[in-house]
Amino acid sequence: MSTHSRSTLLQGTLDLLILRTLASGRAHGQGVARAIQAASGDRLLVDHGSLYPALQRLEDRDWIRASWGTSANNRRARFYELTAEGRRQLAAETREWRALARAIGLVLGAAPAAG
Amino acid sequence: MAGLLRFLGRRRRGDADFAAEIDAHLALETERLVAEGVPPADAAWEARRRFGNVGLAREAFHRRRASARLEALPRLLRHAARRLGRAPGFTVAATLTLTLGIGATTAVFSLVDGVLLRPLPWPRAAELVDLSHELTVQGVSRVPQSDGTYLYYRRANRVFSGIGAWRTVDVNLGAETGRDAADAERAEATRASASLFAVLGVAPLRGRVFRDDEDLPGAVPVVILSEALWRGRYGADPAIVGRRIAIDGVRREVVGVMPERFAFPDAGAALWLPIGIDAARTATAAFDYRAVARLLPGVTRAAAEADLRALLPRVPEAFPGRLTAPAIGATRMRPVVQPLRDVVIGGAGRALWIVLAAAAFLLLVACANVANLFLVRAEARGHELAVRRALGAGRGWVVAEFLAEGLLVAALGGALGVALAVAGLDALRLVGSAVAIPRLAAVALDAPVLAVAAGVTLLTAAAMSVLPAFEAYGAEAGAALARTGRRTTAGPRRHRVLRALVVAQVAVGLVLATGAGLMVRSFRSLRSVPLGFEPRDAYAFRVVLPPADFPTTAATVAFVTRALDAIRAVPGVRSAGVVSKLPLEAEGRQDTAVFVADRPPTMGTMPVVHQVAHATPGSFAALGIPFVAGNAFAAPDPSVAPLEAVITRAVARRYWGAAPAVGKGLRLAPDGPVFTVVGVTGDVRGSGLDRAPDETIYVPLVTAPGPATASGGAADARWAPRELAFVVRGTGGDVIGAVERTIRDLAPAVPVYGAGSMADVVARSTARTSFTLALLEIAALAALAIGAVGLYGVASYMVGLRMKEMAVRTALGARPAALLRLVLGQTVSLAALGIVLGLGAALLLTRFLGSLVFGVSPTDPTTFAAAASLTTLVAAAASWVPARRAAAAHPAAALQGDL
Repeated sequence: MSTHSRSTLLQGTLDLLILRTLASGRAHGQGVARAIQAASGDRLLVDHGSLYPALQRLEDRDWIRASWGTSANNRRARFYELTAEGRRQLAAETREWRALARAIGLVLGAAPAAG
Repeated sequence: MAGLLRFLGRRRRGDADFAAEIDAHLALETERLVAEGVPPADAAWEARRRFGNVGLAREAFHRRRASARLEALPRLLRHAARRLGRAPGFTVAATLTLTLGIGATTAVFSLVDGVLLRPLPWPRAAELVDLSHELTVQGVSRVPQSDGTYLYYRRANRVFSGIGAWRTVDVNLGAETGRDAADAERAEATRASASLFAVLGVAPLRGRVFRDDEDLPGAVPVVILSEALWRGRYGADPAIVGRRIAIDGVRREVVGVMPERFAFPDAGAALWLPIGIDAARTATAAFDYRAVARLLPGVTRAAAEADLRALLPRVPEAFPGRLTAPAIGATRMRPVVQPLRDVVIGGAGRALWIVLAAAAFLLLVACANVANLFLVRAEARGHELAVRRALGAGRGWVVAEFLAEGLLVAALGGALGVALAVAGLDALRLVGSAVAIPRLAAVALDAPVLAVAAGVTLLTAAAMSVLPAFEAYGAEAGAALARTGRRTTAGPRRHRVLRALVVAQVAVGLVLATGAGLMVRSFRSLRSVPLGFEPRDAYAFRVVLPPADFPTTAATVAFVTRALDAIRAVPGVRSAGVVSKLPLEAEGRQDTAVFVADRPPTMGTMPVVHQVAHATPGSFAALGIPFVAGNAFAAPDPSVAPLEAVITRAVARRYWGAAPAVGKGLRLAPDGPVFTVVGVTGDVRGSGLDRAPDETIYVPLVTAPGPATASGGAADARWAPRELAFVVRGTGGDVIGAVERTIRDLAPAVPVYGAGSMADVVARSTARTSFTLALLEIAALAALAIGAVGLYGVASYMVGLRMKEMAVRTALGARPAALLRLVLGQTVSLAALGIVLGLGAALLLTRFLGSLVFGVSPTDPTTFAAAASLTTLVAAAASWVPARRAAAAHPAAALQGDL
């Protein structure tokens, strides 16, 4: 379908992306997967099989909470939303990620650019 | 805390809910794909493809749920039980092996705990110490207290809150003259000072303890009963205090009852009598009393010893007598303060620790063996595990499965092991008195022991299942999958662990076999020590003649003479006599300083102390003690106290060397009458088979003046001991019963006790060695058996894996003998490595047997070689059957698909 090169998500970053996605409002699992794919310009494909265990993990940590609701096209689905704790976690992880990305960028910038 | 509340409060999310969520996802995704233009027919398939492995997602969900709520544990155990049920052979073998290991460890640990670790039963028992003296006369020896040292230490010390004196005596209980004769009973009594009760700090159950004025001889006759005696013989009579009971024919008033936990000096103590010490009339050189003291808070044993050391030289001033200042100096006598606990436990500690170590080794072998079984099973499950791993089963999950199996097997083994321990301890109690273990009554399988058993079980489970789990999981899944197809040889990596465990089993088995071998040799050397008497067909019967019934020496001698005549008339009896002390038994022992008549004592030297025993002429023949010169004295006559003595060869050699001793003279007191030596006997082991023969001086039954140890007594008094042992040599029928009846018929009020053969006396004296020997032997045999089973199992397994290779070899022309050698060579090389390691370990460890080893070096090459050969033999036997199987491999097998 898409001809873009796609990266499989590094484990750990999936949690961050889920939290970020849910920061803009409640969503069901399939919606989260699609949103991540869309927001990354189709560069990031979420493995649906690992999405749900990840959601469960975040729920167990009380970063997100879930409830059954009805989707836009009238289907029953489990909707997730961020908790206050999840919001704090997102802020912290975003900071860490930015710091890491900056650090990697510095390292890469110091080396001769390839292509 | 908040987390815990959240955890508990959270609604359980079931599998169905998760499945519904996935269904919803697939529906939403399908709709979206259709919206994006995918043909509806393909959309559902595409949605599923994108989702990936639904099962894996569900398993991941499960795992999260499981670890969050532990609800997986029952399921894990259920599955493990099912798997074990499908492999009954494995389960039974593993369980029984562990039963042996855990049972042995639990039983022996309960012994160590009850005998060695648990504090003595008295309050603040760590402060209690035993007081004795060390002397250096021809080697170091120990003496306890004399009345003089006890009284002076008690008066002058600044380190103890109290000192109590005691000595054990046996008494005839309830033998009132003419009445209650059938009721007469022998009881272990303890003469105790009033202070002893205060030192031990236990209040009486009823009545009171002794008062200080009751310490004096001739005070109002009183007695304190033990709870057991009060409940048993006196039916827990509530009015017991104040009642009068007959003890050795003397009516004594019961003043108190001590609770069961008082148990001093041991659990067998039935009653306590006043000590009977008079400060105005002391015999300071007669060390007849033991002393227990309680250290003042903050005082160390060393400080207490220093205090007593300063006091000892002043004893002769305070209590003039035979213990003189020069004598103290010449013998380098010095006070010794030991923890009471060490004195109570005595030499049993080492034996118990050794046996505990043996049990632990056995458990180690059992664990290694079961771990091996698990490894082999894991190998058999290799394919299944590889498939599951490829499907995403996590390492933690696989380990948990193995651990669950290990837990189940260990729990079964643990439960059976505890049952085995209970049975073992019951058996031990049955033979309890014969194994010479103190405090056996305190041994119980109680909470601490069971906690240790449970801990051992858990550790065992972990040890034997986790290693195989990692081994099984560690193999690359792909490799494992590939290997399960056609293969001819097994992977080398995991077999390294298998081999290491076999080597360890062989090594530990050898260590135990070496220990057992050394004990066998020690036991044999002990039993081949020349006794100096002939225990076969010799029997002994103890009596104590109460003064109330036998008021005079004449009455005592008349009874002894009549009894001996009657015993000699018993059919089968060849000779009979009476002695005041039996060989190898401590009862009736008297140590007396001896002075050689023609060598006046020089000032400042201490005369040598010898054992003095009263004997009638028939006793030498009855015990089978040979004369090497002269002969025995005449039969006892109450009106004559012959000044004659029979000495053992060691005494003769000490004083007269090679010159004839018969006709020489000895005194038993510096200014006492001279006893003429009339006979010399062979040396007799009197104190123990591992001790040098006693230097004994036998004197006639009737002596004068007074008892040999006392300095007082009128010169014309005739005296005979009242604590006697009849010794009888005879064969056929019921000699013991017949002699016992004969004595009873003559004097119904005198209980006969300790009746038995001299062979039993000899056996009792080696009881500790034979006990250790028996347990080490059992441990060694069990370890070798388990090790053999382990070696057999591993050899069979490896041969099983290589059957195809063997078949190929046969097809290529290998002869069966060559295959046999190949397999045997492999297992024997494993065994050889184990034997080398085992010999090294044994060299380091056998020295801990210490004094238990007698007449053989702890590194005796013969024993080591024998143990090594035995182990080699067992190893060869264990691998013979699998090797035969390999040798019989049929070439056709190589062509068949699976073996």
